[in-house]
Amino acid sequence: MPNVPPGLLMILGALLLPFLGKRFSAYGALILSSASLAIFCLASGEPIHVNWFGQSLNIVRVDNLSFIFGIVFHIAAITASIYALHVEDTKQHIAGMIYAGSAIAACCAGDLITLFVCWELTAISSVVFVWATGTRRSYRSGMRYLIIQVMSGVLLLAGAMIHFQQSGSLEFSHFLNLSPGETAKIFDYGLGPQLILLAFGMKAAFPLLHNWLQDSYPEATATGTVFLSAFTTKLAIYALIRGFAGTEELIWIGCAMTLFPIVFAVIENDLRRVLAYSLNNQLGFMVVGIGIGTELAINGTVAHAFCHIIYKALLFMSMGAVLYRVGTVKATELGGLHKSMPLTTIFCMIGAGAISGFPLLSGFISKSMIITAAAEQHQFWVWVILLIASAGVMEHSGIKIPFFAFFAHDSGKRVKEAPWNMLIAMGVAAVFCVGLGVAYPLLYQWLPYASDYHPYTAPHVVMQLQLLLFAALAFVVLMKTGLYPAEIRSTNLDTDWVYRRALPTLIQGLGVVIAIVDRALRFAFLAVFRNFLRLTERKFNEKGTYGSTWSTSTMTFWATVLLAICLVLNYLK
Amino acid sequence: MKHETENLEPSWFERNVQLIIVGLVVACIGTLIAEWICRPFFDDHHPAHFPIENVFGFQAAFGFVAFVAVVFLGRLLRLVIKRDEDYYDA
Repeated sequence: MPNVPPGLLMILGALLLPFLGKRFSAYGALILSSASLAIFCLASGEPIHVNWFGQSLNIVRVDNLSFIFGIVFHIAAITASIYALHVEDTKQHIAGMIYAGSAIAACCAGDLITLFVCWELTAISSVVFVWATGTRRSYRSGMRYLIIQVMSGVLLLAGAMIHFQQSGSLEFSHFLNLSPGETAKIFDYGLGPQLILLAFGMKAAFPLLHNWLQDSYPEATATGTVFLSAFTTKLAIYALIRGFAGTEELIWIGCAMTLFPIVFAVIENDLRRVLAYSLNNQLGFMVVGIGIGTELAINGTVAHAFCHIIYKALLFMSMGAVLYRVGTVKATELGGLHKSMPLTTIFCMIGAGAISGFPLLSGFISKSMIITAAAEQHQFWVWVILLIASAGVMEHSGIKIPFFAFFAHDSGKRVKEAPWNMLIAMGVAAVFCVGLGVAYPLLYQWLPYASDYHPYTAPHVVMQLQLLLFAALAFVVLMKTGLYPAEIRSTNLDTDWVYRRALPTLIQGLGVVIAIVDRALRFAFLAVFRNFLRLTERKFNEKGTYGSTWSTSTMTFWATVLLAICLVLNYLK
Repeated sequence: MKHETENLEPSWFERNVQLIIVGLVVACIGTLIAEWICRPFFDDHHPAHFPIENVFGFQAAFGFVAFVAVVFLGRLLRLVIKRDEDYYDA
């Protein structure tokens, strides 16, 4: 079969969805994503080159790395489409297909210009999910999301231009051509790649650049967040692997990313925002893996991205089902839902177990590769931080999400179980979580590098169970002693405070100062001007020095004095 | 959204919380016993990268302490960053 640009079917097909009407556009989206997967698997995978302004652009490059991301993006698109089958909002289906299609096209882009186009397309299409909620709050959040995402694209383009000026190449490959295991520092790269790294870092939610994620994902629709959770950040992870594997600073950036969100997640009341913090923490593991850059670390990062997309989608789906049925996902309003949503509860617990890394579930076989890679490089503190982060994941995603939504104190809410299509989608994701955890060699054989890593060794299983079960025990102890912080209805400040509160206040304050100074200057000028007018008026009126009528004798006197001076000067000559 | 508020009798989970906690404690002790049994064979499959990994029950203690530390850091952080729910909307 000849090669077709991956994702193109979804992007173009999305434009036809309006013709299917409200009821059937959802099914159209499901058919599109399934057909796109079939084409992606059957296509020859040969590169496609296009000439553009005298440049040969490699718009399709499917290698080991692109292929596995393409596969998992398709799985996510299909699962999310099933999950959204009940939604009768055509614009969300169109956005979903363009978003997923452009993410798939981006991970198969062989040059920076194609990457840029797809990068911006994911930004513009995905904001529809945030706006689709239809509140003023979601509109503003979507605006902030869009500004930051587009800014990332602009940085990418600027970096690509500078890189092209310096190297004469638009090819998207490792910017220092490092082999696995070789390392570099950020300052070894030119200005172009540094800007591109910043662009990738914004989308990968690096610390201090992260807050668009926690700001916008919880504001999106129940089904939209499932789409959002899968593509944007993992596309950035793919791009970082491709361009910057082995960059040492990424290890410490990743460590910071694994740590700070777990603390924020403890005290967050909105459970979808807890999941957004958790997503940020999981990205941290991957960024550490990219920074280490050995074959095992890159394999671990890719495997973790694969498993993570599916279990994170599962967790967001379970919270989306709660949002759909109950109307809120605030921990303070929930509790006891296991009585009325038993299947959703089970699926959520499978997702929670997978993300925590329980043996026989998918997180166990992927996260451990990254942690082992850190240990093999003798990075003791990185290893310790990743262990702390693992206990933290157990706290917010393993326990907090399922416990406060489905158990805890009974909120008395009795709702219907999630709709059939949501249950099927969650079921599919749950099967993947278990399947990947058990039949892990199926995943390992697709990884970019050949590997002889075995996750199920006795020490590894025992150690991991100790870490997780004793963390769970700590939760029980803290709950029983009343030391676990109660859920409180609140807003917790994060870096978005800078641009939502501090900067506007500062600008407002600056405006007030400018107004005061401006008024003072005008006042002073007017006062001086008024004095000048008064003086002029006094001097030139009929009684003033210049304005009054002088007698002829005065003039004769002064004329005589003048003549006398001339006479004296003449004699002195 | 309309919710029924009848049917408040406790579920299996609510009736057996104590049992679940006992089960968890037993499982925790089980992992320690498993380590005690397996430890002589550890190095064959899983060479320790750091000396601390050879301390008995290291990961158990680490998991417990890290969890408590994270929760207490969260409590501290709340003192600094907690605002009213409508902080940004007001």
